[in-house]
Amino acid sequence: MKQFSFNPHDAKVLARLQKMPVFDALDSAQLPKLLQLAKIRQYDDGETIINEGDTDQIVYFLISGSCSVNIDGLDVNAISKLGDVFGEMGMINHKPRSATITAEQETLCLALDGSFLERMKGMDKLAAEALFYRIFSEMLAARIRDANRKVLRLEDELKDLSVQRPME
Amino acid sequence: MKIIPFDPNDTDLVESILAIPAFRPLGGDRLADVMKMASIHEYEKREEVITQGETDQRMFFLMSGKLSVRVDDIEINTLDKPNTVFGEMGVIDTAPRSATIMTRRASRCLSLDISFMDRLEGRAKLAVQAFFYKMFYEILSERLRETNEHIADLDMQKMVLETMDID
Repeated sequence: MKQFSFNPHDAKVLARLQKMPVFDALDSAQLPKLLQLAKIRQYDDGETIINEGDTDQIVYFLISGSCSVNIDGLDVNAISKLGDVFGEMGMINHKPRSATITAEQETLCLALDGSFLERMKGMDKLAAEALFYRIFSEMLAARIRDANRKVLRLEDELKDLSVQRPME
Repeated sequence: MKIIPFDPNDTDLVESILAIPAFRPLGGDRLADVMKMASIHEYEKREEVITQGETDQRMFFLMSGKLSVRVDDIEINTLDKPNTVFGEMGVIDTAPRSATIMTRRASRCLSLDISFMDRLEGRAKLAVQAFFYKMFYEILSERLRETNEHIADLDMQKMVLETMDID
């Protein structure tokens, strides 16, 4: 893994970040502030990004590439969309990582150490909490919408299957 | 429907709001700030709380009573567990309401008007946003977990039916 500080003059990375739906909520003053706290991390194909069982508070935003999500040796999901957020639970509940995330090709992420929230006080803390929970809520809302579509599709498929072979 | 504004001196009301797990972390000034976007709605039997097809930015907590969840006038579910959250997707989704919520008997709900958050200023605004999005995150996490369990269950049913087809 290679880690770089965010370079605000890197037009290519900045353009990718601005396209991330999760950062829609940020105004032009908030995004640079957030990016100052973040690092860019580059992973090789096959490299582990998060290790199941580890405890840290880093939250990741996918810039490019793709990753697999693996629990107890089973692949359960893939992360491949620009701006996909992962690892946010570590920032929120401080519990050990529940899954292993592995780069499936050369992958670029924005990594943000959530422990900075604990060091903040007063208005700054409130503002940062409001911002992060808003980003995370929007991400969850998108996941729920996807999941609801999947439920509808499965219910339709089940209806078709039951017609073909009625249950007795 | 009768709307009762939040009164911080109404100790019974404050107590019943603090009984809702999502509001438990609030106290004193912060509760008063958050309650600026809240009101208590009291409904008679067979009144609509949410109307399918409409768009609004309200979410609700059931305090007492029983509700019917209806899609195209067919009941698909009922809600009667105190503190149940509903209507939360309308807050983030500008899409029209996908179901009607109608009271099956006289009911009381705490309603949060999220559009009100934008009208607050300064510290109160930040405090309310921080509280609200945190609460919202927790509600949505739970909702996603339930939906994923439902998907796993449907997947299993599908697998069973498909296996039957092969036989």
